[in-house]
Amino acid sequence: MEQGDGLQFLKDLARGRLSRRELLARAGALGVGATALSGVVRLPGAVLAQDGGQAVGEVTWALESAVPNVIPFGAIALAQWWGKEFMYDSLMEFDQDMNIQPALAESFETPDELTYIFHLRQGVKFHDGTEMTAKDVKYSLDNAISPPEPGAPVPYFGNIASVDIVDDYTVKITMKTVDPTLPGVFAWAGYSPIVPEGIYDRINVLSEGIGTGPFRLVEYVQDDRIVYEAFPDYWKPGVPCIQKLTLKALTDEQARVAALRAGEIDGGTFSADVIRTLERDEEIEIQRGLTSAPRVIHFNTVNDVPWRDVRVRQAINLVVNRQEIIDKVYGGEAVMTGPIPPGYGDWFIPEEELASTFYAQDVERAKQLMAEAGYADGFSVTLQAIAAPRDHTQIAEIVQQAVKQLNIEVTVEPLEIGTFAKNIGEGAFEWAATARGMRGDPSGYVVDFRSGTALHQVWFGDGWKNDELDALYDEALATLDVARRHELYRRIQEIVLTEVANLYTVQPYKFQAARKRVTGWFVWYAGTNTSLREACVAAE
Amino acid sequence: MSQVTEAMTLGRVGRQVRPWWALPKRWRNPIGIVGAIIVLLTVVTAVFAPVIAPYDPDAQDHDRLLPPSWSNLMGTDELGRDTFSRIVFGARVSLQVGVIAVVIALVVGAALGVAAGFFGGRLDAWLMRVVDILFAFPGLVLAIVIAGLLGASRTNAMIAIGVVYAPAFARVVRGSVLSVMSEPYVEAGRVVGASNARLIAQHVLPNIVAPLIVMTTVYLSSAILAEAGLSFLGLGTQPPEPSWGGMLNLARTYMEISPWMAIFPGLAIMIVVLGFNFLGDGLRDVLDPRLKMN
Amino acid sequence: MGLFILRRLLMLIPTLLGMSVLIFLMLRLLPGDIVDIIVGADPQADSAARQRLREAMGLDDPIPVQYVRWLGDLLRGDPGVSLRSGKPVGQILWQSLPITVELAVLAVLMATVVAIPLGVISAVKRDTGMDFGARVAGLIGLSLPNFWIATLLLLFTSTQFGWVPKTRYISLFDDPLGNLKQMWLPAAAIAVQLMAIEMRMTRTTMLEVLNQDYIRTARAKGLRDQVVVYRHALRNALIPVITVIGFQLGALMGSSAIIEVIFGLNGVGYTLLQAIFNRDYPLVQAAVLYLAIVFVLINLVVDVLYAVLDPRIKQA
Repeated sequence: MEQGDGLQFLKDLARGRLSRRELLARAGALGVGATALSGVVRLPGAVLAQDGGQAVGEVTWALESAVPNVIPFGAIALAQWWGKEFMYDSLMEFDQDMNIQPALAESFETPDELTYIFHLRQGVKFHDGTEMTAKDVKYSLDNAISPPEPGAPVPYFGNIASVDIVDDYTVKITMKTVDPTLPGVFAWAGYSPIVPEGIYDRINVLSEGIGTGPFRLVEYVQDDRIVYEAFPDYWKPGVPCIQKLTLKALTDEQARVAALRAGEIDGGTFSADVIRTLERDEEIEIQRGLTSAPRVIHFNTVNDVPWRDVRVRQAINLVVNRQEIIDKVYGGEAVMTGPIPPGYGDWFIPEEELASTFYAQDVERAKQLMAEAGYADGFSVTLQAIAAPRDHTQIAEIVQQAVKQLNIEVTVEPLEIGTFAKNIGEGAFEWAATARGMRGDPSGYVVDFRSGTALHQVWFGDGWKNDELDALYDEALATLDVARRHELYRRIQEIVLTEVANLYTVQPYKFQAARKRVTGWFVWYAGTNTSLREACVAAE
Repeated sequence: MSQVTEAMTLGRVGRQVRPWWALPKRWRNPIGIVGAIIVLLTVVTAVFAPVIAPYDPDAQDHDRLLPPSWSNLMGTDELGRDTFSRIVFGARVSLQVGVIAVVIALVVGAALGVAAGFFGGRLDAWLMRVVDILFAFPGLVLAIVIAGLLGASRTNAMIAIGVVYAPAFARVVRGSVLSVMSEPYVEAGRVVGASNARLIAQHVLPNIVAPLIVMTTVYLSSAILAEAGLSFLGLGTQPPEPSWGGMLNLARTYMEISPWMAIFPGLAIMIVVLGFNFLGDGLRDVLDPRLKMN
Repeated sequence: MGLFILRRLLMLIPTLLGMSVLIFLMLRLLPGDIVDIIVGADPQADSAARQRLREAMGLDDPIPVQYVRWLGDLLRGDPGVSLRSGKPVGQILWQSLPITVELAVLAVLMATVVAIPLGVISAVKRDTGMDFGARVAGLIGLSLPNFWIATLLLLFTSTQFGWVPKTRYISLFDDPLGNLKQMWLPAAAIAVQLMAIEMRMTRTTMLEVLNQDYIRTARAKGLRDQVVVYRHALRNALIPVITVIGFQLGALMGSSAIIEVIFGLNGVGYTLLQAIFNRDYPLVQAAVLYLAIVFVLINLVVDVLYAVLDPRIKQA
């Protein structure tokens, strides 16, 4: 029973034995199979370039913020991911439904719990014409584990003991402990691109890149645009279909709207309210989808603050109306979220249950709790929020109004991202409105609540910890039993929501719009524009 | 020499015989009057905002994006706040931003400019070098750096704008002082041994009032606009405080589905800025004796 | 005159040094740095990793040490590389500077061509309907935030004509027509305010000059009005106006940032903005110095012009 399901799943997957139906059914078993919610309008299917055919046409896609660089390894912000995703592949990849699929590894096996053996696809070419072999994979993974400067290490590869070359097309990864998250993290792709050995000595990896991806980087203009060209030797037949893909940073939304209408850009991301103005345009297709970006307001309990008392946090939770946030900030285009966001496989707590149980409102009870805690007269607090995009600040404003009922005076302090990031990282805030990004495994959404972790120390300190949660968290990471993992993460989320360790609010839908000449794209759950890898465009 | 006497006499006549507001002819300045009325109304609105505004400007009590109606004269914004109430309270913000920023610029700039222009020589060279240094930063960039350095807030935006504008005042004042200094009547004053303070007070200052007023009005209005620009970049007045610039910027998102959200703050900015400019033009006509001689 | 220019040029050196110190200090005192940006808002790197990164980037040395190192490199002709992309700062600026310079020059040209005649006419025909109309139009132009004007222009051309200017910069030398087609709209969005400012300044100074003794004397001597106005008055009236134009031209070197953001042009203003928000110190420093040099040179030209037009200045 224990471990069986997960391991079997990996084995089946590795041997390609699972049918698509089974894959869907068992999606999420490893915390990586997130099925997008309904509401994603899908096209009948991309017009694939005929086999061996030429990629055609040009697409210019707008990005909401400039790409700082295209660094292959280390911690990255979403914008960096946007910039580099088209030129790199990983060993595994997600499909449209967030199921793990083979990519540069054709298959993998797990002879024992602590060993992964990846069988590499043969004949895969890098953009410089050389063939990808095991030494490139070892070089890449070693760098992913401890990124060269200026990359900052990420925690996802901490359980890897060693990466060894078995032969030219076989790589063995030895784990320190049982770790069910690895294939998911690989499929997530942003942290584990496969690059040719020695790439750091050959090129400026911040503004250049050599990968095996469907597009090769031809021009990087800082803060402005990144130009990709189809890589004709891509290993996947019929891909890419677009000849030239330009990513253009257009930070002002009105500018994106105007440019999209005029055909200056072919697509981009828009807010729920703005998308309504594009609906009338017959040339433009709109798609809606969930992405992993749960909005959350952090309580800092390190210092001697009123909400070290759980009753204060619970009182606040009782007066914050999530539906109001959904309606006012997102024009109805959002759903309530707990720690693990909706759409992330079947790990999340459904909206109906959140609304009826954890987010039910009761102002009287809240006032009573405040009184019991000794704060009937309230207190004052500063709520930091990311200034752009604006929704963080807008949520903060709604919360500010809501807690006025409890005599809590909130000063909303919108901060540009640099300052905000610093404050969050150092715990230099009282209350902070932010969002979580995509995670390769459900554990990534709740790791901060595990006492002893770096962020727990700066966010909660000795002001909040939960022994039961700690035990559950550790058990969840040490088991491959899918059913048990579900129970554990379910219970962890209940604890977080009951104790109101953080104030989770909503998960907005992401809207993207594109000119109809582009086909085969859709909103990608991870928040990237990954579907463009296989999208097509009608020739002019 | 008779010219000198004439100019001096005329200057005095213009300022001393009767207060300007008592001169019937000077009432005939429609632009100035309109400006004065607008500015006065704005000040009254700002002072009595809590009385005038029908709702709490931050209360999200209404449906979002409502069109104007009797209950919400200017409609509501994206969070369901009453736009009219926010415009009324916003008058406080805009006035404060404009006035304080320009007062900073005026005091700093005029002091530097008068000192440099009047005393000349090395002091001039050094002061102008400092001004050059400040001046050599592109205005908005300096404001961004300062506002970013101090943290994004309205106060810091005002300081940033004031610092950015000060060198411009210094330069124009210095230029004017230099040309005043070479006027025959100032030279005459020197010849008869008038003290520096006396020369500055009696001749230099009155003669730079006209360009200063033009500048002050231009910069008052542009300070309000600059704050709006900083708000556009996220460095001006911070939500939920209602600032017209911030409201206008936010409204751009809703321009096609809810145009009134943009129209009213836009109008408010335009009218108040116009008011200041009208008033400035009028005041200049009235205050500057030289322009009234023909 | 040669000596005057030389003296002014020499005076630039301490100015630029002073600026370099000022900008360096300001940036280092800003909260947050590039490491936070690299690591991202959703922190995954622990503070030890951040610290290592800071050390590797030389951000951990005392500020004076960092300053001297930077200045030394700069004097050797190496302004450094962007902390984000590793690209040479010089190259980045070389790509973006022409865009900003062209925007500024075009906007000032557009504004001046309209504003000066309008200002003169307004002053000469003082208190007529013409004067009134010009003043009110100028004031309205002055009263609109430029991001608002730019947004309206974009909204208008995109909905009415299905056209917006290209966001990828076309060099004036490669394709002059394409370049102008791309640049006129953003330049116009900037020009509206400049126009109003210049017009008002021209009118004011013109009025003052027209009331000066020598003009009245000239008039009394019976010179024809036109000659008086254009030969004597305009020349003197333009002196302060030139200061204003010079100031505007220089100020636009970075202040067109908002317009660049809206029109998607990666000029220096926009580049600088991104660099500031991302704490990309080498790029900010070099960009500001670049702009400052351009700006200071413009000021120098203005001063020289000033001296040519108004001989009194030279003696002072």
